[in-house]
Amino acid sequence: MTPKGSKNIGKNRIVTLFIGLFGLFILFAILDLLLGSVKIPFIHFIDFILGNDIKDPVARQILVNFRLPKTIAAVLAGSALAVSGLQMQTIFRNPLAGPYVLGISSGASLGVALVVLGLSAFSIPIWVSQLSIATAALIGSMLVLLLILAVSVRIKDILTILIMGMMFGSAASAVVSILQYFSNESVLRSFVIWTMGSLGSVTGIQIWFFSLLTFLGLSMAIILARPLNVIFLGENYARNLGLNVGLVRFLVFLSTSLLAGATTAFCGPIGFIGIAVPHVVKMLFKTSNHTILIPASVIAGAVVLLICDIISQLPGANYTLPINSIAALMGIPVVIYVVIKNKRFSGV
Amino acid sequence: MIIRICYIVLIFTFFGCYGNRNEIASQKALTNEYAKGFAIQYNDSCTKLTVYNPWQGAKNIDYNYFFVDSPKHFHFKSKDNTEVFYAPIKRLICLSTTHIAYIDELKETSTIIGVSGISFVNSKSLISRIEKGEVLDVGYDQNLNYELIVSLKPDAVICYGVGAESVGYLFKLKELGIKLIFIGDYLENNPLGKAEWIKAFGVILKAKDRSDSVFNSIKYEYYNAVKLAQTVKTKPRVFLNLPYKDSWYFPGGSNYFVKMIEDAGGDYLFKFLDGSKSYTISYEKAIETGMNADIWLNPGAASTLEDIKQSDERLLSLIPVKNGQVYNNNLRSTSTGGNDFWESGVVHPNLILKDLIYIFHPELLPEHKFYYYRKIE
Repeated sequence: MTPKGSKNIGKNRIVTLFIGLFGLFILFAILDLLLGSVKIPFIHFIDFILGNDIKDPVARQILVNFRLPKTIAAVLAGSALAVSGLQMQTIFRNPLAGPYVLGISSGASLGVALVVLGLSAFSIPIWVSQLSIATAALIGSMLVLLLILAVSVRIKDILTILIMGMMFGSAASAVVSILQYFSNESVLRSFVIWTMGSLGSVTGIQIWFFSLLTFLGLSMAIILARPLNVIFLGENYARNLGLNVGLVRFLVFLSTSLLAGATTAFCGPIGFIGIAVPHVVKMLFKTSNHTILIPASVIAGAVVLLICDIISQLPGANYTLPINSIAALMGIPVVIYVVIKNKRFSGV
Repeated sequence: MIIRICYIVLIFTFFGCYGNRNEIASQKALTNEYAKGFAIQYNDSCTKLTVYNPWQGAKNIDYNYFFVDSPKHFHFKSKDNTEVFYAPIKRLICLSTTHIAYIDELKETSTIIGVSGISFVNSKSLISRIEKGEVLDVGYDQNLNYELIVSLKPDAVICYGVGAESVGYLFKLKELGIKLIFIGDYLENNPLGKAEWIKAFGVILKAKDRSDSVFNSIKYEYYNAVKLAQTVKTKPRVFLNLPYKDSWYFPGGSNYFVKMIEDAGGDYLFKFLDGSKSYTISYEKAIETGMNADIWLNPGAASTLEDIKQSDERLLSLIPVKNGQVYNNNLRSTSTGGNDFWESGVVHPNLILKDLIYIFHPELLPEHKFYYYRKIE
C-alpha cells in the first residue's frame, strides 16, 4: 500500500463516521421531539414535521412552543460546549480542561446571583424576567473574559493564564456564596434551580440571541481550526512558523467565551459535556486535525446533549430531572476512562 | 407509642406545677377542634401548652411550655423539652411574619420587640412601631443576630422549624439562655387548624377569652361560606402557581390550600398527587393540564399579565389567560415585598375562602369585594 492509499482508507473512515454521526443526530433530534411527559399522537407529529396546522391545541402548544425550542437549545448548547471544550484542551494542552476553565460559568453565576439574590438581599423587589437573568449571566461571563484577555496580553505562559482563570472563577464563587448566605429560601430556590441547568425555558427572542451568539462562536472556531493544528504541535514551533500565537489565543478565548457564555446565560451551567465529548470524538476519529475534530464535535455535542435531554424528560412520567445531573452522569465515566488511559495521570 | 404514654405519665406527674394533690386533680384539658399540633391544659395556678412535632419530619418530639403567674407558685426548673414562663410576657421576638398576625389579632403587637425580615411586615400597628424604632430586625435562618437577640432580653422567642437541620441555629439561642416557643401552624393541613393556633397565642399572651371568640367567629364565617358554596352544580377546574425555569411546583391533594379550593366549590386539577407536600411536575404535563383549566390562581409574584409574559411568554396561551381568569393573592402587599396573604391570611381562612368563592362563583357573593386576591390583567 502506498501512503496515498492509506490516506484514502482514512478518508473513507472519516466520511463514514460523519454520516453515522449525522444519522444519530437526526434520530435523536426526532426522538427528543417525540418523547416527553405528555403522549402526543404520531399523526400530530407528522403534521408538525410537514408544517401543517396541528389540530389539537394542547399538542400544538407542547410541540411548537415547548419541545421545538428545547430541542434547538439542546443542539446549540451541546455543540457550543463540545467545541469550546476542545479548544480549551488544545490551548492548555490539558485533557481535563473544559469550557469553564477560564472561570466563565463562575462569572455567569455571579451575574445571575447579583440579579436574583443580590437585589432581594437589599430588599429591592423586582420582577426577575428570564431575559434579565440571561443578560446578567452574559455580562458576568464577559467580564471574566475581559480579565482573562487583559492577563493573556501581558502574560505569555499558558499555565499562568490557566491559574488566573481558576482564581477569577473561585473569587466569583466566593462572592456568590456570600450572596447565597444572605438570601431567603424562595430566592435561593430560584438560584439553585438556575444552577441545575434548563433547556426548556429558552423561548422566543432568546432562541434567536442564543443561535446568533453560538453561530458567531462556531464560525470563529472553524476559522481557527488550522492555527490550532499548528499550536497543537507546540507553541514555540508555531512561533517559528510565523504564527501570531498571542492573537490566535486571544481569538480562541473570545470564541470559547461566546460559546460557553451564551450557553450558561440561556441554559445555566451544564458540566462535563464540554470535557467528555472532545475525547469521544478524538477516540472515534483517531486524529488531532482540528478541521475534522471541530465539525465532529459540533455534531457529537448535539447528539450527546439530545440524549441527556431525552433521559432527563423521563418520557411517560409526570416529573423531570435536572439536565445538569444527567450530563454529569453521562460525562463522568468518559472523563474517568480518559484519566485511567492517560499514563501521565494514572501513573500506570 | 410507649414513649407517648411515658410522656403522658410524666405530664401528670409534673402537672399541677407544684403544690398539693388537689390541684393536680383539678387540672382540665381543652380539646382542639381542628389543630393537631398543640394541646392546652390548665389548672388554677398555671397553664400548660404542649407543642407536638413542630417541624417537618419530627417524630415524638414534644415541647411543654408552662405559663405561671408568679414564680412563688412554681418550683419546677426548665429542662430540655420543658420551659417555664412567668406572666405577664411583655417582650417577644417573632421569627415568622405569620406569627405576627396571630399577635396582631389579639391586639398585643406592643409586646413584639424584634422580628425576622422587618421589610416583609404587613401589620399596620407593628409597622408604626417599626417606624418609631421600637422593633428591630434580628436577622433570619442561619443569619440570626445572636448578640442583638440576647441584648434585647426577650421573655420568649416565637420560632418555627423547617426541618431538623434548620433547628440547630435555634438551639444556639437556648444555649445563650433565651427561651424558645415552637409554633407549628404551618404543618396543619386544615385551614381552620392553622387559624386555631390563635388559641396557643391566647395562652402565651394571657388572652384566652379573646382568642376563643376570634376563632369562633372565624369558624362560623368559614362554615357559612362553605354551606353557600356547596349549592353549586358545576365546579371550575383550577390550576396553580408559576414555574421556576421549566420546573413547576404543585401541592398535593391534601394541602390546606387545596382544601380551601374544594371548600369554595372549585376542582383542583392536580388533586391526584398524594399528601400535602409539593411536587415538581414537568413543564409539558403542566401545560397540558393548564390548557384544560378554567381558572389560574397564584401565578408567583405576578401583578399583571406583562409580569407573566416577562417570566415565560408561552404561558400567555393558557386557556385561563385567554378567558381573563387569572387571579393572584397579592392585593395586600407592601412596597418591600411582604404579602399579607402569607401573614394575616393564616388567621383569616374565612376571608380567603370568600375571595375564592367570588372567583369561582361570583353569583353567590355579588356584594363581595376582594380582600387578598386581585384579577391579573
